Amino acid sequence: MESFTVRAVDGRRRIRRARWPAVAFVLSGLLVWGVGAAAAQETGQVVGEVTAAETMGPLAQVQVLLTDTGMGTLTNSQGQFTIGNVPPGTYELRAERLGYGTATQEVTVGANETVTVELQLQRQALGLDEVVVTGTAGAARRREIGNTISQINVGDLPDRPVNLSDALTASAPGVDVTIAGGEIGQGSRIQLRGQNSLSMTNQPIIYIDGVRMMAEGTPPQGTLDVGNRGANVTSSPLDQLNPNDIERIEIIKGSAATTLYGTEASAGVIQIFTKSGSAGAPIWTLETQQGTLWSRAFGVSGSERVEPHANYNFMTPFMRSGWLGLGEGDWGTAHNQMYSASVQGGGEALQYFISGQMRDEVGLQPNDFGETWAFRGNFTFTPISDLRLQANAAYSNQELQNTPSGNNAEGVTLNAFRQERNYFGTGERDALLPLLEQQLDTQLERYSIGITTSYAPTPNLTQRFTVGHDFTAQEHRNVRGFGNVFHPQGLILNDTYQKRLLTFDYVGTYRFEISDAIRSSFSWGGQAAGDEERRLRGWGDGFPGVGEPTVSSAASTLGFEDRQKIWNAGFFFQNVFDLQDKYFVTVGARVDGNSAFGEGFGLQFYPKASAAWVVSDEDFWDPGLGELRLRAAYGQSGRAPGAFDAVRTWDSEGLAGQPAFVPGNLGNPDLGPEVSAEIEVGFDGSFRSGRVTTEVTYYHQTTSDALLNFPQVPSAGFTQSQLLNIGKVRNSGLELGLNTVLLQRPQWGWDLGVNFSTSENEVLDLGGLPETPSLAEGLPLRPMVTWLVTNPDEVADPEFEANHFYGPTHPTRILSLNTTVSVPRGIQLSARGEYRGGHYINHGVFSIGRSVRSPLCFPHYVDPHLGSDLALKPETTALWRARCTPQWGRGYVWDASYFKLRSVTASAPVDFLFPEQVTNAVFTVALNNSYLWMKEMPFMDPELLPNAGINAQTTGFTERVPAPITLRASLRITF
Amino acid sequence: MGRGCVLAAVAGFLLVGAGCDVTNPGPVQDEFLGLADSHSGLVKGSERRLAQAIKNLGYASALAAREIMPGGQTGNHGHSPLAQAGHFEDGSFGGHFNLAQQARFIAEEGLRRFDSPDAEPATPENRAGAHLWAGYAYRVLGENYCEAVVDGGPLEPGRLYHELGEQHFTQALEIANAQGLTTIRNAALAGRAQMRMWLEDWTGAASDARQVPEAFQFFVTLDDGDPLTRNRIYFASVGAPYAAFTMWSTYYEDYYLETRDPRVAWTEGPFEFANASLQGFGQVPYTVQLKYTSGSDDIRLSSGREMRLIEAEALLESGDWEGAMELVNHVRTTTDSPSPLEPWPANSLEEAGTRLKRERAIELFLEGRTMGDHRRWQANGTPGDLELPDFESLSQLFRDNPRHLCFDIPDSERERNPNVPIESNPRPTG
Repeated sequence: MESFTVRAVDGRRRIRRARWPAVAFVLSGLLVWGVGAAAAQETGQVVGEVTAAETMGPLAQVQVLLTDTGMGTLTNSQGQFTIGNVPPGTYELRAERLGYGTATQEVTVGANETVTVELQLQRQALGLDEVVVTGTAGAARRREIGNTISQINVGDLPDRPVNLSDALTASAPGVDVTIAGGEIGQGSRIQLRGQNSLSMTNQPIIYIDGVRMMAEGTPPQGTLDVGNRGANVTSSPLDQLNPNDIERIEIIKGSAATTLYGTEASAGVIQIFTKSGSAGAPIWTLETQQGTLWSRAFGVSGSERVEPHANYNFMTPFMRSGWLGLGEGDWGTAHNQMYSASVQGGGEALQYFISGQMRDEVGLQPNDFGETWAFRGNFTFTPISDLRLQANAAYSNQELQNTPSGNNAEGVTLNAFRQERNYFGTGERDALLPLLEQQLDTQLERYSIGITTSYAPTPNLTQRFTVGHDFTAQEHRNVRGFGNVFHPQGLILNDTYQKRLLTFDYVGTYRFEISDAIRSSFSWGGQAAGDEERRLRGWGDGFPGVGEPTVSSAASTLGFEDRQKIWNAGFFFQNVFDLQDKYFVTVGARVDGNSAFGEGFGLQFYPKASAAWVVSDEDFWDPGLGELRLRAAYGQSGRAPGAFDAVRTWDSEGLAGQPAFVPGNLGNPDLGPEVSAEIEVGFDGSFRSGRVTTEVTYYHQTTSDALLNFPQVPSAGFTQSQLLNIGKVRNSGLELGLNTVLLQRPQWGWDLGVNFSTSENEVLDLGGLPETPSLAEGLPLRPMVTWLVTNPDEVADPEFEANHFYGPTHPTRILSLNTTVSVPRGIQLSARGEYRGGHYINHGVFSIGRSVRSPLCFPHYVDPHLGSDLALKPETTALWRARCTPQWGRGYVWDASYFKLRSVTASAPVDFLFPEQVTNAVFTVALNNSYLWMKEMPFMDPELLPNAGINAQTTGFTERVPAPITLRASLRITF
Repeated sequence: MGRGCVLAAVAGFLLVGAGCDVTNPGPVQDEFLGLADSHSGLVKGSERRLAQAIKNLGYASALAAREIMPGGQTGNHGHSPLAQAGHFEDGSFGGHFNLAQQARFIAEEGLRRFDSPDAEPATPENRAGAHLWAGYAYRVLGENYCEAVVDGGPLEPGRLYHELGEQHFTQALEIANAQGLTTIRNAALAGRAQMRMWLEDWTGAASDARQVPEAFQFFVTLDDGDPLTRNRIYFASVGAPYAAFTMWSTYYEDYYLETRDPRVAWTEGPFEFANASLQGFGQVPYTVQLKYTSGSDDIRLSSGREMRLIEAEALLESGDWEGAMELVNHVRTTTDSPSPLEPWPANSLEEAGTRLKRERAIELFLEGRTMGDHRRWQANGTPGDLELPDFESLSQLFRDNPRHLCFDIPDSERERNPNVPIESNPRPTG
């Protein structure tokens, strides 16, 4: 069963399979089978209701099970549950849900009897006894840890995010997620606590179920003739994951917490935990989402618009509209859909979680389509009580088609934005249509396999060994076919990129008592991570005629191969001293070697120490006050140089088919990692019976031996800068998380959450590196330094101050707000918004220096019509003269502060629409990215990133379309 | 527990040990370059960098020499508005400088390695080739830069480049003569004639030039398959998609229509206007040069025909303008043209100078030579007019920003080389 959609571009037909009907068929079959299987059960049963102790309101999605039987279920939206087919006997009934304590009750079931029970779960406001594993050696209770650790329970997110980047956006203080652009497949950049490296990546490393996964974006879609001749999309491997598979995400943000991860961890660690099976009858969850998207105006809004399409920067003829008359465009409506199914269950010895997902996406631009399939199987095997094996495997496949865009002379956006000053000499729609004939097809495949063995031969000794393999492959085919407007003979690139990450991780923990009051938990372990990248590019030039070419079809072909491997390995020791279960002191260290270190460098030592005090467990503390924990931590972790940075090399570049050596890297045998040392202090509190919880953290990072590119004397031959460990950088800030329950009634509720963080960095020492206007001691990393118009309001020619320092280019203040209102019938209304500020942006969309006519300048041109000259009205002020006159083109620095309404969501239980076997059915409508407020910028979207996409270190955008507004309706049922 | 801990420690050390032992393929490690098998790669590396340098310097200097008219394009394959006017800001164009410096550095580094006691012996072809490319690298540096700096040394007069170039050509010539390497011999003679012309050794220049056969041509290789070695003058003008400059309003717009001289041919472009818009003027009508019709068209470094013009200039310098005109018109009338070119008339030293300058500019059109010639003639007081097109009447851009006749030592060198002052010296303008 297969249907087809056909799209025509200038007479050329491209066929794309739409397979969702097949998926719907399969899911329907699973639904029928699942319901039928459930209905086949009979005999005695346990029924009941689970409520929240604070509100007495019903709690949905609570796992209820009869211990040691393999029988269990989930509560529905009214908090009710039924466990059928229970053989007569006495059992322990257990109820648990993430974020709540566990409740147990003994029940005795007779033949053909129905036992009714009521259970209450207490919300764990601080979760002091909740077990976390990220940044700890093995598992640890939250109360023991001296650093903050953010946890996101994905199932609790109201807006049913379609990818993990969305789930992380505005999720916790200090978590900075930036949407790079509005293209299909475009990823989001994630940074924790801002930036503290000048030369290396500031992206955190990511683990999934203990296995290191690719964190950076895939290489941007480009070409070989000029690198940016594609869609300039960088995909995030995170977005290949199915959010419905994720149970929770733990985030540690700085070196005080990441020491045990050693080198490569100073930008923080994100660990994703997928769902595991649970003993009991199969629990099925099916979900579908249907949605649409359209563009928010990103042109010059709010001012007189001379050109009809200025509000989309002339892109309207190339934009797709949404359903229901939303947006405007000539390329049909965007219909996005998602289908997901999972089943979990098992017996005492073996539990399973199996899932599948299909996403079919249609984007804003004419050629933007995406189709993603993701599958997962997680299995837990407990052959004997001391030994547990966890095997997790996932596979995903994403196919993307894109529109040429970005800062790309053969892209639609650039040529539309520049109108008659573009590469066609005209902005007419029909003249630019041939650009859409470029085929930009990308296939992304990922698999991840991890096996974790946990062995606890004695109650005091636990050991865990994880081996995992994470593989990402991207094949990008970039075809400008025979008859292409700029390359009549045609060009083709096949760019195949692979990344393999191999993880070996062992940790052992031995707990013992030093005295009656002092317990000790000693951990040791080792970790090795292999990171291998391979890239093979085939390039062809000149096809014999029309048709679907391959590289082999071309008259002349070239091949390029790049590959590199980096191994990082280390071992660690850690001891936690536990005094009366309320004072905790942790000391530890890690020693690392890395293949990218210079030959003369040796090993790197990273120490750590932390302390935590559960003040609320003291005798003097009035329990009525709530809970309070103070914590402080110090730790170091690092960031390694690149694979070739330590070695003197020559590049073999070739000339017309003959080998040619040219100077490459000067080399530095003493090259080592840059080392970040961080002090973090703060407290976690829970007050007013858990109705107010707060988390406050101050951190101060100092990165020593910072890797800086030291320029060489060009006339000495090696012109490439050499990395040296010479710099010093400070990065500090404050993080505040506050959650309040403003209204708490059985049917009514109102929660309000605030996350606020600051991040300010500064170059402390350049180690002798000559200062430049934008790299100097005392300035932030990547500052905004450029021309200032000193007489902006005068009616005169502009006067300039060169190299004016405006401020940082990275947000220094991030404030996110989220609120949920609960009303009767289980209906919830939620909203999540985010403000970012304290930074500056210098827009580069309109090439004023090329005499491109900027819509911003239309009010100031004597003749505001396209094609006319650029003469300005005599009353034009100096600032606008600077902005609109080609010889200057200055004065485009804006305060980039903005607020985005990330999501507005309404959800309601709709169990009543389904047979009683369906325990949960929830209908959700989510509107994302619907509102943008900008402090100064009059157009575009300050969140956009340049061509390098999510791998970009800088802010500032190029010719992209901003991320669209999306509207999605979701139906999720559990039975 | 004790045994577990020991095992963990051992495992940890093994992991650390394993982590430090990775050899990655790709870039060539320095120690391998002493091997004989690597020698030709070094020689070719010098040529590669020279190709990159000359395609970039040739394009930018063509703006200053007014061989082409800018369309207004900045960024990719364009230039800043000031550079479009031929006005090269102090300390700018560091990338072009780096390429030219690396061209001579690679060749000279190769020669140092060939001469090192533990190196495998170099072939005469490689040794002569290294001298030859070093010589031409110095020629490119000398023609485009008024001041010289070598190997992180002090700032010196640009003459140093010509002197060092002459030495390399002389050594290349010695090896070529001894080994019977004809192409290298002719290329070295032509290169040395060019250097001696700059050094005003007219006797030596004419003597070398006379020994180069008229049909001889020597090119630096360009390759469309590699964006870094693609002929940029072609790519920036062909409209795929770059139409960064045009022949409109240049001397050659009318001259080609009148003479059909194939050396400066041009045609209508696929679009009406060049990319972007010229500051102070607007959209510029777009025509395409036809000197280069492929990204793989090589750029000529020397030729027998240029040697005749050097001989002519030597005669002009001696006052024999009639003899000079004979050679100038010999070059002109032997051009492989569909319609024979008429000889230039000249009735005085001044007119002969004008004709020699024009013929040399036509013969060496878009070969990265003319801006240097303008500077040399200005410095030497060579008689004759440059017949520059009147760009000043088209835009204030040209009126306000006089064209430079050489590039400055870039900021990248000034900021990192303690032997070179930060402040730039004044440069000649035309």
